[in-house]
Amino acid sequence: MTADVVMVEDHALLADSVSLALQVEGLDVVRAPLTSVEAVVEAVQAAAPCLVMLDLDLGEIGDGIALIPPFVALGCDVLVVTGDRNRARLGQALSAGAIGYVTKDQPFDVLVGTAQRACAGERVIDDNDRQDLLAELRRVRAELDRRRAPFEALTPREQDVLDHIADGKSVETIAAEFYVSTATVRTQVRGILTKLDVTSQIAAVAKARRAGWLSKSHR
Amino acid sequence: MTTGDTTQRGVGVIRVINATLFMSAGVLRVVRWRLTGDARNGYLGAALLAFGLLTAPSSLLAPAIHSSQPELTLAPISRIVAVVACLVLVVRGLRATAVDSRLRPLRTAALATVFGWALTAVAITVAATVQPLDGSTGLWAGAEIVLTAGWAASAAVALRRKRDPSAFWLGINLATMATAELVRAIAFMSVTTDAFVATALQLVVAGMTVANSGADLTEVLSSEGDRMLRLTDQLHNTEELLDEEAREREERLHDARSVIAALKAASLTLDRYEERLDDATKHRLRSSLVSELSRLESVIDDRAQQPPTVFRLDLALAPLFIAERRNGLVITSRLGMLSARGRALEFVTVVQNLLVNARRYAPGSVVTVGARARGDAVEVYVEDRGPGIPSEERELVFARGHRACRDQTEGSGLGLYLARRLMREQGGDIRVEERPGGGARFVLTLPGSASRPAGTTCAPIVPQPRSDADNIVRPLRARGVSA
Repeated sequence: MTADVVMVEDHALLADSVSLALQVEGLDVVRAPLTSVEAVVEAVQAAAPCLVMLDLDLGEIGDGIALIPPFVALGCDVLVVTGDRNRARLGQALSAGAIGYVTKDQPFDVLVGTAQRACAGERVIDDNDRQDLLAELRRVRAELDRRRAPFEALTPREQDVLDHIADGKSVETIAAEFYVSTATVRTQVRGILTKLDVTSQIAAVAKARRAGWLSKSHR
Repeated sequence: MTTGDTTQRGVGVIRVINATLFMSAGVLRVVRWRLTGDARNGYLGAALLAFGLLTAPSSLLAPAIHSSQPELTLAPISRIVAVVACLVLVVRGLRATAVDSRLRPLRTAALATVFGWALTAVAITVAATVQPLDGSTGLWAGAEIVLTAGWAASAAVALRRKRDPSAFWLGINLATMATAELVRAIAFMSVTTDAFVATALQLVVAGMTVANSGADLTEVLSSEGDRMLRLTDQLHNTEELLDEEAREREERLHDARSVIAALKAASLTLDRYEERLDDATKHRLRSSLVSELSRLESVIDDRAQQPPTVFRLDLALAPLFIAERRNGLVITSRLGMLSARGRALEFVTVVQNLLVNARRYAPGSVVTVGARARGDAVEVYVEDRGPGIPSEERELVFARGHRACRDQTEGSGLGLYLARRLMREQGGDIRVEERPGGGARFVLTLPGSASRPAGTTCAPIVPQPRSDADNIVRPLRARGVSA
């Protein structure tokens, strides 16, 4: 079953309303089932639409940005519809291939109108705005890289040790777990402190948290 | 070289050792003070350091300057000054409050030392000009007696603190010092008794002081290590809680925003396309509007504490089923017409959570929602035909922050933790078991419609266990501190 527009939106009522409005305006709209990433991509492939309206926060499916490249690969234009006002994230969506965005706090008319224009093949984003968003993305990425750089310098073992310290484990416990001497672990801890330019284990853990470095289990 | 000289030299060496030991003990005490901040250790450290520093030069120099009669010249005066300084600091230490933030032991010791040396120099000069020192053994003996009394008095003060083991050892040491001083006083008066005995006694005290200080420090170090670990752990937990709080708040804001967007969209669609929509669609949108509004209410009024009411399970869940079916979930309802007592909105939120979980962990599976009466209570079960939950994880999934390990997506893991809290707050509970034939079955219990209202003894609200970290965060929250 083909359609002009596929909605990938986890909020049932919003999706319903937008679909109805666009249908009244003469566009065929289907909603992708939000059961899994594969199911969404399959639905888009089956519908072969000109436009995909994509929510970035798909709740349980995860980050919508990951879906943009597959949609673009299928030859669809992707219009991001999001409640997120984080400009770096919007920039990320654009750099992944989205043609524009509408935030959910904008009037409903803007949402419907933008979708219509996108379907008609018109440009839906101002060039300045686009450059701004991409610049913001670059800035945020650079900042993240800068904060993570000292952690990249850690050896894999030092990273493990840092993880364990963040768990509140003592050098003795870590040594016992790794089957090495406490002296070895102490050397690794010193390595961590030197590379992160801090003077205590607590400061190292705090720095790691702030840089968003600690592995998933700590987040 | 005479035997006397040899003895004197021996005494001199032991005194230097004594001074060194006292200073070492002082350093240990100061280190301990650094760790715990307790004023007594600070003062004792200062006392020991000052004593060591004040006695060291005289022990070293006395034999060199007046090798014939060292006991009668420089040594006694500087000793008297040292003992007085030491005693003043010890007594202050014994009387000190637990923590004194103005205390700086090293500075105190340095001041006492410099002042002591200056005093010694002045005293020696004055004494030498007024009268030759040699003839005044009686004076020295008297001074030693006074010092003996000083040591003995402070020993008594220390020993009176019976419940304090470190004060006990301090008392013993002070008493021994008093004995040594007495021996020395006697040595001044009679030629037969040797000052060697006094010095040897002091060596014993110096050794014991170092041992005591070392033991105290070790004890503190090991307990300090534990304390640091606990602190790190608590810090970790607190941060995690604050993170979760922030995430929860962020999620709620996000929820509220998208609900509002949907409400606007639906009402505008209704308004603008009124004529062009069929009646069934209009009706559907209107009823969605109403249920969306109550969702907004629940998002904003974080679990408003309304009293539990009796509600029909099937009616409460109907809008949710409509929405989730539209999201692609296949739901079989076997609710019948049972009623339960609780907060309908919260109950629906919990079931919604479970449906979303089923959609995620058992993709494509049919989800059955049913209910049955169980004595006074009602059991609602939500079961899927997915992989199920291993028995060892069944309690774990309700822990705060738990996530299934195969799950790679971001999320807070608050779902089932909150679900359990919500259920328990309304007098029910939630558990998970194996569905016969495979899959997970979540069982929600609620008081039945015939039960007496919650809050009476019949349906106790299960209190939430609180961790230490909770207690740390609570006051912060109360003050409106955000993560």
